Amino acid sequence: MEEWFEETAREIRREIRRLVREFEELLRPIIDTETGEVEPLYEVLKRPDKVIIRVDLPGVRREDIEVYRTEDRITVRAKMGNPLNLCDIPVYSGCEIRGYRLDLELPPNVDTENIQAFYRKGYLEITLPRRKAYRVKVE
Amino acid sequence: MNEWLFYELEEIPQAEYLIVGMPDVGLVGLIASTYLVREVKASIVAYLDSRHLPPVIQYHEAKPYPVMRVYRHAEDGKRHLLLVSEVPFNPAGYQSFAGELVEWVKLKGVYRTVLLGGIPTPQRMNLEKPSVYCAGVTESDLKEIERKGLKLFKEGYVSGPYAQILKECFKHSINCVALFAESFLNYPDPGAAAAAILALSSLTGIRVNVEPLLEQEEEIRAKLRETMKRTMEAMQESGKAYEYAIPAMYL
Repeated sequence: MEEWFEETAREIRREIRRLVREFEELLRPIIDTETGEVEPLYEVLKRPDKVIIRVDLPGVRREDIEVYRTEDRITVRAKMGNPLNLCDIPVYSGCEIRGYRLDLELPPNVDTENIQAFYRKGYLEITLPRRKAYRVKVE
Repeated sequence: MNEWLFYELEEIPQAEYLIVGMPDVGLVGLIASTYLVREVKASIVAYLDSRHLPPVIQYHEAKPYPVMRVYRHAEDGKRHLLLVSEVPFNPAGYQSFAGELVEWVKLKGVYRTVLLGGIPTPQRMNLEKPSVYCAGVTESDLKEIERKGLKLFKEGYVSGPYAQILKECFKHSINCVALFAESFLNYPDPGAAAAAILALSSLTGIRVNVEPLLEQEEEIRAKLRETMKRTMEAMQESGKAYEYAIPAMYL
């Protein structure tokens, strides 16, 4: 009985967390009205030896992309060559999409000193090597 | 009781092909079908409604448009229908949608249904020209795919709404070909949509110039960012992970 109660409570907590996440997502503005930046589509691919962050940046030139990193975060900012004017759509009225901004927490155990970034056909690929693992002697 | 209602705005003639485009992998079906409607100047003849669709209506040039619409197009004396869905819907509605669509296809005497879609490919970034794999249902479909020199989809799983349509067509021995272009999974992929349209042209004879679509590629990707996010959420519940699995029959 106690086990059933604990499992039900866990399920309720999970559901509440999901609803909170969904609600936060709904309240998040689609566009930063000051900078005209939107969050681009992206994916984080975790491999044993590296982490790859792939970002979709259509309408951007390589020289207009900036990548910043700190110990635990990475930020991508990119300016579009031709801003997208969506003034006919009321939710975007008064603003145009002028660029992208992505701010991500870095996964643990990556070597932030050796990050590589590569841009091709509108996609930015950032490769973060994993930190070296040291073998532990088994006695 | 029907869960999907077809509202016909005019009498719908017997058609050679019904072409279906829905939001799915890389939004290939949605991009290809909306481009096709615009390029061939197809006119709206019907729309669908259902409790499975989100409560959404679209406005374009001050006119309301239901999100799931049927268009007609005639070329070389042949009549075709195009079904475009602008929004993904809950997997709970797939079975009734496929069942009732196939009933409607039978009623309208459609010779063959063609589904436009994408197949996720990890190497998409390195592909200049994505291949298109054609999954047929009947012997006639398979012969036609081979006769037109198109690539057969030979092994693997298909999931999502198209899988349900293929299943229904299989149950009723109805001609149906799904065209799956190699595509990004989670980024809008106009290049894959263009490849799917070219395969459609080979299969059906409908002539479409895909150059403007390729020229607009980056703009389309930027504009469909939010639609792609909503579609990804729907795909997570539609069994898409199956497409990466190797079927036991292949062992």
